[in-house]
Amino acid sequence: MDKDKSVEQTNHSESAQKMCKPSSVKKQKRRMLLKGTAALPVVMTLYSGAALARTSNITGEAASVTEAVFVNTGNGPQLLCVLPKEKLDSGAYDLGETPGYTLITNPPINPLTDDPATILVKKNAQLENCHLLGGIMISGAAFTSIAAKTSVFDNLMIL
Amino acid sequence: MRWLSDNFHTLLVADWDEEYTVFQPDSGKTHFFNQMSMEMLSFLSRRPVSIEEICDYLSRQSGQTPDENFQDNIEKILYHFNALGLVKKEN
Repeated sequence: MDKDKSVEQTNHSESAQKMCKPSSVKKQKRRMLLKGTAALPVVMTLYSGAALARTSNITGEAASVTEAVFVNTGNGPQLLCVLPKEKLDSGAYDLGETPGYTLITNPPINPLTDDPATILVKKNAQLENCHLLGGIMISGAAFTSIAAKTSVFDNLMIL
Repeated sequence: MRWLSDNFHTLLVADWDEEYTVFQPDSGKTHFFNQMSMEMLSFLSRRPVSIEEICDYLSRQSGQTPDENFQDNIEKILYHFNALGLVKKEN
């Protein structure tokens, strides 16, 4: 956007600014800091969210085992147990640049003989075993997002 | 110790009437400068200079009398610039 367009936009949005007074006040304070503080150098830095996202994979644990990713193996579905690098203050997990993971084999699930209730019980038992390893389950959406950025989940066939 | 701007020629600067947006391709960061910050960085792009020379130059530009406080603040900004990769030290 060039300067003239910016000025034009500012003039045209006077009424909008009145409606958004707190934002306007903040903006004014920022401008005062930048422009009014002629006596001192001022530097503010905008960190690129995209750049941060590239360096790490941050996610929360899936809300329930029914949303978690299970890998379809010859021995039945196995929970994808992702091993976080650290738990952040926000409650989210930092999986690092190349997330580590393991598949939970116990208890084994046989989709041909186990009824749905048994499968659910066994999936929860796999989750407990994952937690014992310090891992977390992730949702399909988180899996897709991480898989798009890294090759760590290549060759996994998810359910 | 002397200071010098680092890759000043690679910075993409837009002038918004005494406010400046500075895109730093090396880091992918965008900085917002006021007039004095820009003058400081521009001054550092000419040749390596000492903190005293920077203070002297900036105080003349802004019509201030440099005191200890002023120099402390300039030094803080220099270290901040250094952390951002905008300037480097030359011993």
